[in-house]
Amino acid sequence: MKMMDSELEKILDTIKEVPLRDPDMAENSRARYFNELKSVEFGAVSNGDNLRHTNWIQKICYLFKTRKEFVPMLTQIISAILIAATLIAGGGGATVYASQNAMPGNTLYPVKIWSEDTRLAFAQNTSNQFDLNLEYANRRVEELINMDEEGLSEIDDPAETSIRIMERLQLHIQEALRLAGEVGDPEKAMIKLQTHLQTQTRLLAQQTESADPEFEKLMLQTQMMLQERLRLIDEQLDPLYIRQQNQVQEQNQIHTETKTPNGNPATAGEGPKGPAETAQGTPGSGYGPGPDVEETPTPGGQFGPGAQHTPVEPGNNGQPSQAPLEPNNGDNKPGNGGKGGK
Amino acid sequence: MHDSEEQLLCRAKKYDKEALSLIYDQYNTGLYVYAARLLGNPFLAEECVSETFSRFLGAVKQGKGPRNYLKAYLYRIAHNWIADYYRKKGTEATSLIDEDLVEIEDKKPLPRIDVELRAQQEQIREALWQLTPDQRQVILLKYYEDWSNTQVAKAIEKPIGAVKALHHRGLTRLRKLLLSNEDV
Repeated sequence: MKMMDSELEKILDTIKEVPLRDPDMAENSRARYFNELKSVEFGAVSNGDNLRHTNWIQKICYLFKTRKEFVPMLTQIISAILIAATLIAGGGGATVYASQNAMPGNTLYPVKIWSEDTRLAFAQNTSNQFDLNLEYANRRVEELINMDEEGLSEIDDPAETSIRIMERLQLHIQEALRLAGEVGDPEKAMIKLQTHLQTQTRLLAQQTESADPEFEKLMLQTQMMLQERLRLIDEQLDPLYIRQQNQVQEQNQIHTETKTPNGNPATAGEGPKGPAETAQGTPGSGYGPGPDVEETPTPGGQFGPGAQHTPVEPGNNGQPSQAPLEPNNGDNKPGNGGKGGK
Repeated sequence: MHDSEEQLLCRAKKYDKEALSLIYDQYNTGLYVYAARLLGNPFLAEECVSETFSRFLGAVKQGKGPRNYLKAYLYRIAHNWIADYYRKKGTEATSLIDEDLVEIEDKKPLPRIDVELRAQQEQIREALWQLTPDQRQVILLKYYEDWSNTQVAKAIEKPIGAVKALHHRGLTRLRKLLLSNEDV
């Protein structure tokens, strides 16, 4: 039973192709993953999900529940109760004010983070949110530098703490980057963000030269992250890049048209055959025979699964060149074992 | 590299870095295409890939993560990330970079066909986001990723019969949104 008429199919095919993946960006993404992988050696347990700018009530709980040992946890709980009592007693403003200079390891540091998240949550104006994220990103860099200068001995778990700071820094920058596209003058916002990142990178680079060896690796990772964001900004500000992206899209379109003289969707594959074409039991096929055996054949199946939307540039991450960009591509790697033909 | 997905996952859970590297190399490209198609923005798509693998690593570190069906698990994370993004930003999300482009377009006009294509793509994405989450994921995985019903069933953790029904209802709704009403 054919479930989709050709008209709908034609419309849906409009987003079947995606622009070529930028090899540099792909390499940066890969570097981020491998840095995170390596950071385990640094003794950290990533808890980035808890550090988002949403669910801030849960985040307060998170700040007080992360200690593994009972006694430090008890200390944190008592601190939390004291802080809450102070807030209730009317000293909230003073406490929050006092916390603004608190550094990691300090009892008031969670209050500082909490107050930042609260301000962000209540900032309705996109421009304010953007500025706040920039300010908080600067604070995180300052904290990293301060941790290195003051020594790590006063902090319970310097590795974990520093990685959390870095994660928050990354989130602030990510948010700023997103918000920059939404403010009144995106280009101006991008330039402002660019200036901040350049300064932060320079400060970290200076500090890294004399950094504690234990800390140096994290400083370098942070710099890499900042440089990657800077590059993204440079590209967004570069009209040449925009033009190149459009040219790539046009080339894709022309390529598609020449590949499909009968008006078929642009997916007639040049990529390696997927499960539907290689029949059942393809070695390395992780998921068996593919759409051919289904009672409800997918229209995409007619055109061959090599759906080759964005061939990978040669030398990209050590992946095969011209690899088809659909999830099956990984499964089709020779020798990938799998449950072929299942 | 002779590991099946299950073996790879088993090694990954023991924090075998080679296995974790292989997992990245094996799935990052497909995930990028999936994200880029839904988001229409290469920067966000890269972010989605990074965040997907970061969440995967986080889960592995905490002894969580998938028990099996790694690929389905990764696509689910990516899909959830994208859904979160859209939920947070509303339908304006897709135009994050496009707004910049429009600004530049004022100075350097882009080819007309490109603008039309973008508008049409946005229309399709909007229609897709009007489906229920399950319908959307079934359509995306079956139609755009060529997954079988069995694979999709694993990804969305529903029986194959439910996948077929979701597929049918999703297509019917899309037909209504994209063909019956030009303004959708």
